[in-house]
Amino acid sequence: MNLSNLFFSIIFLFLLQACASSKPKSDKLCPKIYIHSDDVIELSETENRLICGDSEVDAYKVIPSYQASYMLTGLLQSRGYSQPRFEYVGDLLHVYTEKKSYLKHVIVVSGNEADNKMVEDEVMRQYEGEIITPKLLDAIEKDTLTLLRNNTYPCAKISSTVDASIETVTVTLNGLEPFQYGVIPREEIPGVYTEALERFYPFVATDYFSESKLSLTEKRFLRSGVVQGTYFQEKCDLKNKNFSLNQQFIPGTSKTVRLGIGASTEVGPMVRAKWSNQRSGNMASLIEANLQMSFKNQYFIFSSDRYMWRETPRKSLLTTFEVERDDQTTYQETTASLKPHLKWTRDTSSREWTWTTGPTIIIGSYIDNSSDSDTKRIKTGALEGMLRTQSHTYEIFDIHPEAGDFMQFNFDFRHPSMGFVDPLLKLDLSYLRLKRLGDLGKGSAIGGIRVNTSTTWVPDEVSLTSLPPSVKYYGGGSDDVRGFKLSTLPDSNGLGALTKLGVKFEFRKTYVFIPTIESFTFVDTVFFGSRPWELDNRLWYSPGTGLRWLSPIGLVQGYVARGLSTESVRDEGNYFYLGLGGVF
Amino acid sequence: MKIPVKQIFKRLFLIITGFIALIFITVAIILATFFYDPTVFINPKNLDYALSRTKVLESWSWKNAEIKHEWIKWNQRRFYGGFQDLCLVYDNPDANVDTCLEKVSWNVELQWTLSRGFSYVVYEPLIVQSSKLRVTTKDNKEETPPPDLMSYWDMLWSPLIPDLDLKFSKIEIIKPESPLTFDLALVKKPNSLTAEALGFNLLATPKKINIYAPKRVLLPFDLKTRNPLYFSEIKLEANVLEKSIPIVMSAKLESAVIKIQTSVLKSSLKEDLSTPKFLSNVILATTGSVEVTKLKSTIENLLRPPYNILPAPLNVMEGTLKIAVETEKYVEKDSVLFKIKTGLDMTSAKQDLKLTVNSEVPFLLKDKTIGPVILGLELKKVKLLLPTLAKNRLPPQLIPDSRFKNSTVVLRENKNQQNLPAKIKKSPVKKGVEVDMKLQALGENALHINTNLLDQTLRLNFDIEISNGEIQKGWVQTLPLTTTIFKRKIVIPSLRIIFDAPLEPQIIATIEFHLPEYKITLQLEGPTSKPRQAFSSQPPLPADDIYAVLLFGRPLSGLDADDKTAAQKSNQIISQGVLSLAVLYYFAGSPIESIGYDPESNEVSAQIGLGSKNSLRVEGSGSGLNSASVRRALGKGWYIDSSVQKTTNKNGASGGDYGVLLERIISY
Repeated sequence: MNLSNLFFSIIFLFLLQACASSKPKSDKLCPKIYIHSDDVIELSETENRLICGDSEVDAYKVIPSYQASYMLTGLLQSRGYSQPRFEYVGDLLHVYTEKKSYLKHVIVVSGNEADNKMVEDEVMRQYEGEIITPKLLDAIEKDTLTLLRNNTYPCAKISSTVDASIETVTVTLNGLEPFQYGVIPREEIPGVYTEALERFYPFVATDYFSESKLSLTEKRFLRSGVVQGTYFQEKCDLKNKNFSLNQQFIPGTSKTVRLGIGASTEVGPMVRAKWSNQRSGNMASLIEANLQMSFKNQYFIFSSDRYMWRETPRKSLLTTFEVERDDQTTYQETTASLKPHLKWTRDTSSREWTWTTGPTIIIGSYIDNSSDSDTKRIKTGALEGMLRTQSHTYEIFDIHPEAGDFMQFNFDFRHPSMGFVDPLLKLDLSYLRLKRLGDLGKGSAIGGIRVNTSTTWVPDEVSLTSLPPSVKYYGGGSDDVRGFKLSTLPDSNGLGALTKLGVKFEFRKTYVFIPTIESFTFVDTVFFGSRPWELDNRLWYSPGTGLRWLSPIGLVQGYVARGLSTESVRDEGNYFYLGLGGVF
Repeated sequence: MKIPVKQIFKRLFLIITGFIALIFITVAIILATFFYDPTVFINPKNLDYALSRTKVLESWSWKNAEIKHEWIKWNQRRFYGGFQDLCLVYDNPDANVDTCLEKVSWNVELQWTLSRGFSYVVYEPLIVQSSKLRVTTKDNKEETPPPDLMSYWDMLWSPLIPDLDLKFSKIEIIKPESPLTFDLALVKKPNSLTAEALGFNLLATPKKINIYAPKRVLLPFDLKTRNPLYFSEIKLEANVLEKSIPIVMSAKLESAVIKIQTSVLKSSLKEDLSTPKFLSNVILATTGSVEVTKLKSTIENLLRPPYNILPAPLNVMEGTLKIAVETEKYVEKDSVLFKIKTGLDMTSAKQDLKLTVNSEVPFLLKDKTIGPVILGLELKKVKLLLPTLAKNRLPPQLIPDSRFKNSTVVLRENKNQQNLPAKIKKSPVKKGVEVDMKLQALGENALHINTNLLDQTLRLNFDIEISNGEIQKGWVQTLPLTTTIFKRKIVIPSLRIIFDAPLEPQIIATIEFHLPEYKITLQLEGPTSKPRQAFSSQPPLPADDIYAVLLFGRPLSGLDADDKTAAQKSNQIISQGVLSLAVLYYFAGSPIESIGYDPESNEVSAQIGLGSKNSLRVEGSGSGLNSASVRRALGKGWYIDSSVQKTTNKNGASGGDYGVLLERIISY
C-alpha cells in the first residue's frame, strides 16, 4: 500500500466514523417508547411513572402513547429540546429529540422603537446563548415586565413565542401607556387616621408609575410593623386610558405582652415582662417596654416613636427611657437615661431623609471593688443628633444592596455645664455608594466605596483612658476592616482611638454560576488617631476576596483577607471568615 | 252597387258563424275520433314526431313500442301497451339524465261515471325495469324555482297516478364531490308505497312514512376509525299531517343510541330546501339525543390505536355519555342556537367522573359559521387520583408550553411503512371560535383530588367565568384540609382565590401550622403573583418571634431577649417571600424538627419534638455541645422552659447557667 492509499484510507475511516457518530443514539425509554437523541435522556422516577406508567396504581398503569408524547413534549421543552419529533409506528412511539435550542436572536414587537431597543438589549445581555426552555421564557417575560413597570408602564403585558428553528424568541409588548400613580384610596385601619400612613410613601400622586416604589412602600409598612401585610390592587382600563391603584391592609394584632417568671443559677429568681404596641393611637405610633428583674440585674427600657401631629405626619417624638441596675460581685451600677428626640422624615423624588435631634440625660451611680467603696455618681446631659439620607434604590434592598447610596451623620455633644466631666463633641460620618459598572458575563460588575470618618473632639488634656469606650473608636471585623478580628484595632491594648478614617473599596461580580452567588474582591483601609482631628501615619489595610450567596435564609458570605499594616510590618496572616449577614 | 250596412253585418255574421261552426265541427270530429280511438293520435309514430318537434329530450329510441286502446263501453276503456329498450337522454340546466329502460309496460282500465268520476282498474301496474339510469348534476348558476315536494307527494297518491312497479338497477348519481351508485325497487299501490334503496326499506301510506334498515349500514364517510362504522337499527317514522310532518329517527352505533326528532312544515317544502330559512325552520323543530352506555369500550372499539384508550387516569373508568340537543331561535336572522346538554358519568374503584356540560352553540346558517359559544361545565361528583409524585421536589413539567411552535407528529400505518415518506400532520390555522365558559364545582363532593402529597383528600370548589380564554370573574377555594408536610401538621381551613378582571387574581387563605408548643396561623392575602403574609399564633407571639418559632422551633427572644438584630434578620428573611419560608420550613422539618443557626453567637441549634407539647433543644458552637433546654407548653399561653446555657453578661464575662422560666404570652 503506498502512502496516498494509506492517506485516503485514513480519511475514509474518519468520515465513516463521523457519519456513524452523527446518527442519534436510540434508547428504550419505556416498553413502547424509543427515544433517539445525541444526548443521554434519563427520566426521574416520577417522570418515568408519568410517561411509562405506574404498575402500582391502576389509574396510571396504562399511559396511551399519545398522552406520553404530549407529556414528553413538555418534558423535552423543559430540557431545551424545543422541536421534538414523534413517530407512531404501529403501537410503538419513536421520539426524536433533535438538537437543543439556544437563544441567538430576540425580536421585540411594540409600537415604540425605543422600548423595543431597551428590552432587546436587556434580554440579550442577560440571556444570550442560554438554552431555550419555558423557564427561560418565564424569566424573560418577568424581567421585561419589571423593566417596563419600572419605566412608567403599569399596564404592560408581555407575551413571548419561540421559533426554535431559527433560535429566536419574539417578545410582544402591549399596554405601553405611561401613567401617574394618582390618588390612592386606602383601606381604613380601624382607629388610625389616614394621614398617619403618609409617612410611608416614597412618591406623590403626580409622579409617574414605578413598580419599585410600590415595593418600597410595602417594605416600609412591613419594616415598621405598623401592619402585618399590605398590597396594592391595580386596575388598568387601557380603552379609556385609565389606571388606578388602591391599597389594602392586613392589620393583624398590634399589642403583645410577654410575662415570665423563673430562676437561673446565674441570676437567681427572675421576672421578665415585655409589652409592645406597633400601632399605637390614631397616628399609628410605636411604643415598646421591656422589664426584667432578678436579684443580680434589673432593667426597664421604654421606647416610643410617637407621631403626634396630624398635620405633619412625618414628624415624631422619639423617646427612649432606660433604667438599669446591675448588681454583680465585682461592681454595682445603676443608670437611668432619657432621650426625648424629635424626628423628621422626608422623601424627595429619589431619596429618603431622616433626621433626629434632642437632648439626652444620663443619671447613675456605680461602685466597684477597686475603689474605696465610694459611690461614684454620673449626672450628665448631652445633645445628640442624626441626619441620614439614602437613595430609594438603596433602600429597596432588604439584605444586600447592590446599587444606590447611603449617608449618615451623627453628633453627640457633652459639656461640664451639662454634667459631663469634660467638653466632648463626637462626630461620625459614614458614606456608602454602590454603582453598577456594566455587564460582566451574565451578571454585572458592581463597584462600591464606603468612607467612615469619625472624631471625638475633646480638650487636649483629656486622655484616652478617661473616656468611656462608647465615645471612642475601634476597628476590625466583618463589617469594618475585614482582615482583622472584631474591634482589635488600633493596636493600643483596647484603649481605642479618638479619630478614625476608613475607606473601603469593593468590586463585585454578580451571577457566578447561579444568579444568587457573587464574587467580591476588596481592599479595606483605616487610619486611627489618638487625638481629635489627627491621624497617625500608620495605615491598616486588608486586601481580600470572597463569595456571597443570597440564600433563602439571608446573606451567607465567606472570604479570605490578609490584615496588613504599613508600620512595624504587622501581618496578621490570612483571615478566613464564613458567616451569615455582614455589610459592606 | 251600394250594399246597405245592415246587409254587410248580416253577411259578415254568416261568414264568422260558418267559420266557427267549421272549427267546432272539426274539433268535434277530432274529439269524437279521439273518444272512439285515442291511438289514432297517441301512437309511437306521433310520439316520435312530437318529441322531435318539441325537443324535450335530447335523444330517444325504443324497440317494439305499443300503445293500445280497447273500447269496453262509452265510458269505460282499457289502455295497455309498452316499450322495449326505451332509451332517453334528458338535459336541463340542473341535470343530465341518461337512461335505458329495458321494459316499460302498462295495462289499466279507465272508467268514468257521474257519481264516482274517473276510476281505475289496474290489470297490471306501470312496470319499469332499467339497468341504466345516470343522473349527472350540474352547477346551475341561474336561479330556478324550487320544486314543490309536497305537491309531488300528493300527486303520487292522486287517483290519476296508476300503480307502479319500478326496478332500477345501478342508478348512478354523478356529483363532483360524492358520486353515488345504488339500486332502487319501488312498488306503488293506491294506498301504499314500498321501496328499497341503499340498504333502506321504505313503507309509506299517504299519511305515514316508515324507513328502516334491515341490515347494518356502513357510515357513508370515513372517520378514521379502527374498524368500519356501521349503523344498526336505523328507523325513521314520519306522519304526514295536515300542516306538518313530524319525524322521529333513531339508530345505534356500537353502544351509542342516537335519537332525533323534528317536524317539517308542509308549506316550507314548497321552498328551496337549501335556504337558511328552511334549514332554520327544520332545525328549530329538531331535538336529538345520543346515549353511549359503555363509553370506554365504545371508544376502544371505534377509534384506532393509540387513540382508542382514554388518557390516564380516566382509562380505568367505565360509564355513560349522554348528549341531548335542543334548538332555539338565535338573535341573528336565519340562525339557530343549539343547546347541547352533555352528561358524563364514569366510575372505577377509586375514581368518579360525573359532570355535565351545557353549551349553547349559535350556528349562522347564512355563512355556515359558529357564533360565540357559551359553555357551562358543572362538576357533580369528580374524584380523581393524581399520579404519585416525589415529596421533596417540584413536579416535572409535563404540559407542553404553548409558546413553543408545535412539535411534529408523524403517523405511519404500520411498521412496513417505516421507510416510506411519512405523512406529516400539520395543524391547519383555523379562525378561533369565541368561547365563553362558566365552570362550576359546588358542594362537598364536587371535586375531590387524591394525591400522595397530602394525607387527606383535597376538596375543591370553584365558580369561574372565562371569556376569550381569560378568567374574568369567579373564585376557587379549598374546603378544610388537614395534612402533614415535612413532619408537621398543617391545617388549611380555607384557601380562596378570587378573580375579578382586570384586577389581578387575589388570594385569601388561612393556613395553620400545628407545632408542639404553638399553633401558628398564616394569613395570606393579596395578588396571587405576590401574596402578602401575616402571622399570628396561639398562644400569641410578636411577629418576629412567630417567624422564629416557625423556622427554628422557638422564639428568637428565647435565645436572647434583647437581640433585636436577630429579630430584624428574621424579618428580612421573611420579606423575601413565602418561597424562602417554604424552603426554610423544609430544612427545619426534616430529619429533625427544627434546625437553626445564630450568626451572632456562631451557634448551631436543633430542636427535637418530644410528643405534642414538649421539645428538646440542643445547641452547640464550634467547641461542641454547650447547652440544652426542655420546653413544655402548659396551655393558654403558659410555658415552662428549663435550660442549661452559656450566658454572656454586659462586660463580656461568660459562665454556665441553669434556669427554669415560667412564661405567659398574650397578644391583643
